[in-house]
Amino acid sequence: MNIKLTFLLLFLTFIGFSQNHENSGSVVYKINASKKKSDQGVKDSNIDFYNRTISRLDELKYHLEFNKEKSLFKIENALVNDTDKSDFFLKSAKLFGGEEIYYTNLKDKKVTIQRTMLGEIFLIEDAIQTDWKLTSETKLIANYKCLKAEMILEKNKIYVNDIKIIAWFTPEIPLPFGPRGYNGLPGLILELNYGDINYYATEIKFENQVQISKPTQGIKITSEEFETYISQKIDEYGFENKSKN
Amino acid sequence: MKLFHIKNTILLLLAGFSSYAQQIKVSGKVTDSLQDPLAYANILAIPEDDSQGVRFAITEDNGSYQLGLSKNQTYNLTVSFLGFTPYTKVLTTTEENLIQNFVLKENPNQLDEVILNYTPPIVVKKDTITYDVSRFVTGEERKLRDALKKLPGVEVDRAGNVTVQGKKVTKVLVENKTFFTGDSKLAVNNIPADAVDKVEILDNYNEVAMLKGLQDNEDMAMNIKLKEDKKKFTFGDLEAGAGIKDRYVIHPNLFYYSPKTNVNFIGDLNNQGVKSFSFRDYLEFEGGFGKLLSDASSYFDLFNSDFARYLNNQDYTANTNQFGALNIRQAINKATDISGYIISSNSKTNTESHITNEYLNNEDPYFENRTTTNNFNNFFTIGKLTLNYKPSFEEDFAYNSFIKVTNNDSKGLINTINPIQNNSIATNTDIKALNLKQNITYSRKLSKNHTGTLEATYTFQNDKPLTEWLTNQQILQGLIPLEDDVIYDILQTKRNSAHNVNAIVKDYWVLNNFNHIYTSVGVNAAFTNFYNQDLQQLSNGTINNFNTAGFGNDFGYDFLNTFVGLEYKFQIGIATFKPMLYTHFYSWQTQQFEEKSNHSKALILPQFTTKIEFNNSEKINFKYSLNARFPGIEQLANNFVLNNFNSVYKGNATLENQLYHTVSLNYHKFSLFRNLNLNLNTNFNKKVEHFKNVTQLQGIEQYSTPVFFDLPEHSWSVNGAISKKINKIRYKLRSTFNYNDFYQILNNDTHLNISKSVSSTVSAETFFKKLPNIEIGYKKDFNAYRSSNIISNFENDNFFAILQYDFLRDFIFSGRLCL
Repeated sequence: MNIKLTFLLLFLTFIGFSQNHENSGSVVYKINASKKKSDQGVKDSNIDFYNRTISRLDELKYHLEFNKEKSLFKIENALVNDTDKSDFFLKSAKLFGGEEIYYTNLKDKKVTIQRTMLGEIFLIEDAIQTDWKLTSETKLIANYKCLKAEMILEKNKIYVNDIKIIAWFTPEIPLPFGPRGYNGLPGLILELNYGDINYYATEIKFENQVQISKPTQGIKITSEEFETYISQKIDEYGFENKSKN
Repeated sequence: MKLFHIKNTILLLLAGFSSYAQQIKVSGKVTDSLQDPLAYANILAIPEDDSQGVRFAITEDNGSYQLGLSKNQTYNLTVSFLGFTPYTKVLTTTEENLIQNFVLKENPNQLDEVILNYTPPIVVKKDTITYDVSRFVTGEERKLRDALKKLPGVEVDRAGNVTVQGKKVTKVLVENKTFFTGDSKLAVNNIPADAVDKVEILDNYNEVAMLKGLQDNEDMAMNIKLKEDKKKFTFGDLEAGAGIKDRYVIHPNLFYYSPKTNVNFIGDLNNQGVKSFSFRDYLEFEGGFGKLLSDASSYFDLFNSDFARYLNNQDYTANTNQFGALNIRQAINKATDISGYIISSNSKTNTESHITNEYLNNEDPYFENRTTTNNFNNFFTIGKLTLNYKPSFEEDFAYNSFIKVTNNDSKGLINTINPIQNNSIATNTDIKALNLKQNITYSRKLSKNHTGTLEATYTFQNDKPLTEWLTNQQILQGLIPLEDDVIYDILQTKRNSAHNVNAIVKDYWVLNNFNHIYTSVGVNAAFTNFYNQDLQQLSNGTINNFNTAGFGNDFGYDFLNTFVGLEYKFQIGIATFKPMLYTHFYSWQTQQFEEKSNHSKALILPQFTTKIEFNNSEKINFKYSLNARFPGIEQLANNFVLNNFNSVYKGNATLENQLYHTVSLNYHKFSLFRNLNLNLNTNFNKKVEHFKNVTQLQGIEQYSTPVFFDLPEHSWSVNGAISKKINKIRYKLRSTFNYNDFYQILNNDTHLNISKSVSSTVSAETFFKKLPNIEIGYKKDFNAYRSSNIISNFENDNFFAILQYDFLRDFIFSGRLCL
């Protein structure tokens, strides 16, 4: 009886696969980041602040949901603990790790980022970044052989410095997805180094028929327009304040 | 370094070019065994020759792909698709383009869950430029600024601002630790040049991680490494000045620096009313803004402390300051830090006030004109010692000890003109007070889901006010038994002492992402004593003690509150709810001389909060709570006390607790993008059980005592503000509405008073960077007050204009006009 059932189930999944080739499921990513040296002696409150923020990163979880042609990457929603003082550092950690929602559609070759900034929700649409440079460097991540791909995010009006992005992807899991809207590599990204922050996969689940819908709330804007707006606002507010001080 | 970068880019460009030139195209289709196309399948080409790059392609929607490979190379080709067995093939390219189709076979052995045990290693990175100072200096440099000027790419302006390759240094560190306030001016003008070994420029130094995403960043920090034998030095400055009308100022500022010890002394001696020690300095003494940020409440505590108020107070007719502040930070080891400060101040202030009081208690209201002048002499010393111990991020221990000694005396003259009497009263007061506070906080992560905190505070307070009233007319006739004399000399001695112990233990239990339970157990204990003696000193030397007329307390009040609290916090969608229930057990004892009385009571006090967060900048907060408040000792002490030259007070030992409901609702929206700021708040308060002063008024003299009162009183307020900036002008509209009803018991009549007020302001303010800025506005108030049979309404119109203009870089012109 039991064997029969299992057999039936196996058969069903088999049919499911062969009919739809529906490769869907989810990946859990966690993050960490390099700490700053907090030297012996009188402590620097700023380094301390930074390190306290970094130490809270392990409480954050990110989810990547995917199906055949779409993926959605976002932070796991969780209630903030009331341990009064720590709340602030967790908020700061969330900002550090990113609270944006990344929606990717391989068919349209587009990434949509839902991002809250300056008190407004934006829907930033951009083409999938494809200018990966593959290297021959490899490493093992939990027994998966990973290849290294690199990309430089060039400085723009918002980011004063270039940001180096390194993706470690494994061809053994042939899914073209990854964290933070980084996609289009011949294998799942198990580790992504975004500047100082590392996103690393801890759990992969395969399921049938994961529905993914595009975020719709927010002001639709292109990434160039977004950059222009933000830099204008930084000028308007940031520097005004600085000159006053 | 720059040069290398360019070279590298050219090299890469060339490489890209050459490989591109020698490329061929491999194209085709990937399908399953039924010839259905496989979309988004991977084709990975790993060359046998390491010098060639790894190539890849992903199939289109229709299963087609294009792969660019180098000519005459051998590649290991892998075609893979999830749910299918990967297909591998060795492919050797020629000079020709190729067409390759692949058929993948389904793989029935599928993964359904993978757990990866892997954490990327953490590295410590720094973007650093290091200057070996000895290579650039000649030995004639005196201060750091002279040495910095010799370094290539570094500029120092006259004020002491440092720029490196065009970027401003915003923070100065010495041996990796912030140098006092971190201000570059202090460092470059004071650190001796011959102590400097190396200068490190840390690019992209992010003070606040939060800003990292927004401005990635022009911040630069400069780290000064000191020579091994020159790690300690002292420096300072002295500001001294004299001016017209005997005005003077002396302001020394001294520093001692060593890697483990920082000492800063600030002195101030002036009669200009200027306080050289600012609130900012005070913050720095408390450990800097960054440290206080972690606990917003402690920042506000500090901001509202009487010392901060003293720093900001500018209302006086004459002012003399003598001031000294010393701050020490000492590192014991990696995890332990001790910091402390002591501040002493002696100031003389003269104040003067004119007040007109209208008494509306009977058919014929009358006025009193009162002029008060005071000569204050304030002396205080405050000291604080903080010990921080943080062995890991899971554990945190802090000990604080705070002491404050005050000695204030004042000489004043009160002049009152009213229909009953015209009188002058001289007053002398002398208040000696001691305030001691010790506080421990300890928190520890107990397990993955539990965090425990312990907080304990002990405070001791001892006030000894002495007051003397001198007048040549009888005052408070019938209330105090004055004996005839030429000058009536009334003397009051008060003593107020309190020991207070609070302790609370709390467990934070995270059930899952959306459900938390917090439990707490706590105790508050207060042991207080109040003593007063009021008497008349007769000119013949005898003493007329008022205790014959029921004056004088020797009152003890011991209060114990133990409580258990349960809070459940949960989230549904964008809304967070937190119902709370606190059960309190109170017991207290009062004692007047030998007479004791014991009481006990239990109360259940619920609270409820809701927060709806539409996004980071649009929120609704709702709060409800039922509160109990117990009387202070002076409200209980049931013998007479002289309160002022015209009032006598008597407590009531039978008072229990006040009970009131508070409800508040806030809505807040803020959008920098739309330059819009919107706020709406409403608060409602209902007192169900409270105390009420029963007052007997005769002329301007009064006697009052509190009684328990259970007629409800309400207060309600609504306020809102909206501001929007369009181009360079910000428009603002602010409105408030207040409603209050309360009872007054005066000369055996109980009446209900109702007051209502509405106030609205419209204004516009310009935000030009260089032009003068102006704010103009109009304010309108309506007030209605109803008390028994008197109804009064009044309106107020106010037009205002404020002009501000920065000119010649360092001057600010500001003007204000009110109509």
